[in-house]
Amino acid sequence: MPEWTPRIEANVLLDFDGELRDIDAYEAYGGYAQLHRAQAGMDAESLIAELGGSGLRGRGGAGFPTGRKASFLAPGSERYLVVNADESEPGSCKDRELLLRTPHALLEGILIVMNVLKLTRAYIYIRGEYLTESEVLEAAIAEARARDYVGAPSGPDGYVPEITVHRGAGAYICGEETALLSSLNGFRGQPSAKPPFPAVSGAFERPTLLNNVETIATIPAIMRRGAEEYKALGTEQSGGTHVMSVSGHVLRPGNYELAMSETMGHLIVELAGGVPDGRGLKAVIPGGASSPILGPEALDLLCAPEALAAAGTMAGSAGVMVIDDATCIVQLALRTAEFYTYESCGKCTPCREGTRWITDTLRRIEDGIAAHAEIDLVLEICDNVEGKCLCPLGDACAMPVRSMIKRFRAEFEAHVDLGSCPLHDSSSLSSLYPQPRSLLPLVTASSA
Amino acid sequence: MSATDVATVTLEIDGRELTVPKGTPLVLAAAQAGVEIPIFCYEPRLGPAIGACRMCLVEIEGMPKLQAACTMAAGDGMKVHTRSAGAAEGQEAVLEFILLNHPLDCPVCDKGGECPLQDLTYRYGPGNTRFHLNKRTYEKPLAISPLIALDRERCILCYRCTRFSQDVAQDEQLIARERGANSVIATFEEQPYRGRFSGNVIELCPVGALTSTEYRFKARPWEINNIPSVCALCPTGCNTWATVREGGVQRMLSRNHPEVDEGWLCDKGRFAHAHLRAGDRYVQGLVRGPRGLEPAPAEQLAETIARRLRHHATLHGPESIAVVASGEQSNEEAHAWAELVRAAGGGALVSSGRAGAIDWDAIAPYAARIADIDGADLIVVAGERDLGDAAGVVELRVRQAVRGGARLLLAGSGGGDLDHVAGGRIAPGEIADALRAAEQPILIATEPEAVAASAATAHAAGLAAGPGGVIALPEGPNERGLHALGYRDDAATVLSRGEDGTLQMLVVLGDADPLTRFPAGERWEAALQRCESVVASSLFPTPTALWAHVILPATSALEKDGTVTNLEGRTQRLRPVVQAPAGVAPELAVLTAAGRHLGLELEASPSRAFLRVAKAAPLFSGLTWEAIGRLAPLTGARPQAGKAPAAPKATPDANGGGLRAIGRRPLFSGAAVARTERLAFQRSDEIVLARDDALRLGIAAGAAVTVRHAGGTTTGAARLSRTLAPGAVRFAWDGAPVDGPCSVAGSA
Repeated sequence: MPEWTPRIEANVLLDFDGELRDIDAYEAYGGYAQLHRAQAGMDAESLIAELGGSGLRGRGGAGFPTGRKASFLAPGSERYLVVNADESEPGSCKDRELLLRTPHALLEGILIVMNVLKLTRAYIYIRGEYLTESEVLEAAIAEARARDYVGAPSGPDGYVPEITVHRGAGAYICGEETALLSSLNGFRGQPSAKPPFPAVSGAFERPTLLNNVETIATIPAIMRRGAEEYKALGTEQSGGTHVMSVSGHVLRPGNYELAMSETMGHLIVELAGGVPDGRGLKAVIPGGASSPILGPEALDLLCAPEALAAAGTMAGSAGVMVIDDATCIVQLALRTAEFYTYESCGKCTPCREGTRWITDTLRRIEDGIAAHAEIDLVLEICDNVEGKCLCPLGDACAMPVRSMIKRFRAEFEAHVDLGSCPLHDSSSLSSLYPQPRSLLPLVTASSA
Repeated sequence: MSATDVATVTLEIDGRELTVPKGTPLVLAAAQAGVEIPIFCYEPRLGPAIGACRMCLVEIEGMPKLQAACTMAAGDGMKVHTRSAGAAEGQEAVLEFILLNHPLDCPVCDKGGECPLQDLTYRYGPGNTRFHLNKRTYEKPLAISPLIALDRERCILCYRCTRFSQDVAQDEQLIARERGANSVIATFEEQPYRGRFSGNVIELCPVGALTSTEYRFKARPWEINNIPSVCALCPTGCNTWATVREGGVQRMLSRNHPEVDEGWLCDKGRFAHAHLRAGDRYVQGLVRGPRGLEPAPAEQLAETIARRLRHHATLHGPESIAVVASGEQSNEEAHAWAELVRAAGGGALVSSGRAGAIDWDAIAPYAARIADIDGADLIVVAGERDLGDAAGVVELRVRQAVRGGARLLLAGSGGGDLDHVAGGRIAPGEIADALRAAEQPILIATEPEAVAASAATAHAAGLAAGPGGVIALPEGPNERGLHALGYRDDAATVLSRGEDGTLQMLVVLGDADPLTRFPAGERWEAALQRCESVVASSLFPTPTALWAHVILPATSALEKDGTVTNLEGRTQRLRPVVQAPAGVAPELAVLTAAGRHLGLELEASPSRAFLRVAKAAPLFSGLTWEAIGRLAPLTGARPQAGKAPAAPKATPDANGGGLRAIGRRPLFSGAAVARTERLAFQRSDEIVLARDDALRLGIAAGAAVTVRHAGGTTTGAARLSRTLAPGAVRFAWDGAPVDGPCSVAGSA
């Protein structure tokens, strides 16, 4: 599948050439050796210490240190590992790459964690749209089962790890951990208030460790190289490498694994080939659609979460979207708001009502029928949504929209002044937003 | 437990310092401090807070974001501000969002005037809206059942109703469909919301989205009177508000008595008041004359009753007179009848048609209160009648206990509504051992046979010391009160007197008629025909009334003043919410007049009559109307257990390996329900078969089935159950309980 071939910069996670879907190829490459090490008597403290020493931070978006998260898992007779493969953030497709190309790295990571922490069962909650990916995953589990890695006693204590793949039903919100667990538990996929935290009461109301695909798939690589060597690839606060998805107006979109200490410029210009067709770089969305937008100065920033946070945005789920200077930012804001309005679960008021109001108002601006005051109104709605919702989805809508208005306010004003979209002829999103009929120049038979 | 056992936290809310138990939600802590935090979705009776509406946002020092006071627990040293600029901004923002799509049709909304959204907007809302786009519109109103109308435009999606359906009643019928701004409340596949407790969602709704079809457009809140009373349609005794306008009951609302109903009502209690206005009600007294039953004024009724009582007592002795009461009577009425009969020379007093006369005194040493279910770790429900059919709201309490970790075992054939939360079935012989092993066991007996056996079981389990004990359900709503007042004679004795000609005068009180409700109804009918005097007192014509010489029109529980005693022995106050029809004199007045003919001075005034009741039995001793008040206490300690109560003879299993019909009265049955058209859809024609039996008989789920049994023939749609005992066939049966062999045929 050449279209998914990653451009490998740092060979850590994607530490191989070509496909490793097949278990023989994975084992020939040294795969499952770390599982054997774990089974030979690794205890929870040393795994947590290893993860802590590696500087590994969760790759799902929040960037919480993985070792510390594992240390919070409450004791219990039944405990679960849930792998979040509900990759839904616009701009992110890194987990998909990993699921398709190295499913055994994920399985080995899962089995290491399960064996060490003696977890009852692992559930991989995979995005419903990932049909091929779930088939690849199921095939890989069947291979691992045939090798007795899964479903058979492993180690001297007779512990039997089991892995279940659960396909989602198409809701972005189910990537949020409490909504994911609610869906997995058989209820409506809606987030719930914390506490209780999943580490205390998660899957089936038992203590549950919940991690992103990439986070878990990185564990064998860390054990292979050693925590210190892995950490040294990254920055002080964010160890190692990560896979970043680059999309938008670049020459070579795709997934790239690179060290945390690399710059966005290295990723966008050198690896992805920069903005094509002689266009200029207008903006960069660094961490999926929910992250606040940056201007061309983004190229000088490090990819590490702390560097992006310092710049007022976030690394999120590493979905980098590059926007050229022909693009209408109002359309981009509208498209972003539309997505979150469509995906709002409807449970809490500010998100349910606020995202829709933002979308409807942005559409009026794009259509050129809004008043100037409505630009500030959008900002005020964003203020009323942000920080007042049950889960981060409302914020995910408000933050990028606000950043786009703040940074590109003149463009919003131009829409109001002009009564139409000034970039409508050049913007690549224009096909989504036909201009209102009355604003199109009238072509009559006599004038022709 | 001493105070030091409870971990407490001390915090400050709006400058007021207070100490609350650890884990208390800020909303409740604030309420204790006298600070109101606005809420919509928060309702502790629905389970843990969900933090959905975000109305309760408050500012907590040291926390960067506003916090929802419902999901945030009070923390030590917390400094909370509920009216600071930051908090007010959050509250205004949420109210503005809620009102974006809410139609401002308050002038024509039934909720207007008693609407939390109106009230909170007045107090916390922005004075203006910045929203000038089109509001969301939906088709409306939608009848989600014949009882409930749904206006989706008014809905603010607080999820109280779906949480009630899914978590409290657990009927799982109300759901949220779609998502985001398009979320709507709905039922599955547009099926009507059927369930014993559906009406509670009307009261839970904080806006006018769920309204009662019977009350829609009936009245504005400022032109009604809400009168406190209690429901007397079953022995639970739920506390109610009756909304009255233009002299009629317009609706019934719950009135939270935490120890009885926790603010829930079943749909029978909520909607069956329509029977007060039924066309076939007796609106005048009747006395049989030469040309049949003829209208008679109260004085003539009184004189006829007195004359006949004296006649039979003098001529035929006390064995010739019997009063059979359904338990629908107030304590004062029942006591007046008892005194009247005694004054005439004596007679039998019967309050139950089954299992002999139940000895409630034998159960008393083991009796638990309804509220004891809350702390139970084991609940055993004995009897074939579904708990929710016998005492609706008690079922909700059991469900709540099970959600809290209690184990529920069913000592019956199963196949009822509690099956899916029960831990399984238990054989009658194993109940005592199971109860003994538990910390706080509760044994609930749902029908007379199980009630009669409960004292012996409780004794064997050592429940006299508590905690826990027996909750025994009488059949009649006020059967406990009647028993205390001397209605203790065995129906079977009276029947045999009727058959051998000894019985000459039978007084049948209430609409629960022995001809249809008691076992051997045809024998009762034969006995009636041999009686020289039959007095029937009911709201509506009953089979007994056909043979009656005197028909004393009854008043409904909503039309009389007095007291009734619930299944726990808690005596509560009825209030005359509306007036009885013009020709219907209060029974107490008629009986007092009858007493005068017998030289007996009764009290026509209910409050004075109660003074006599209070002296008549230990159950009422020390009670005054003031002590009963609006939220009646349960007075008196458990008596000491005496010698082991006698266990009733085990009835032999007449099943013989064949199919066994189990027909019991459902909740939605009886004279009141039959006259409430809106409740008709609640009647289920389900015939429950054990899955394996059905497969053997070739009956598919939903197939039409005919059951022939001792009581007659029942037809309905098959439901296959994995939890019903093999061989059992369960269905709703309004007559005397059916328990015996049957044949089952699927009709193709």
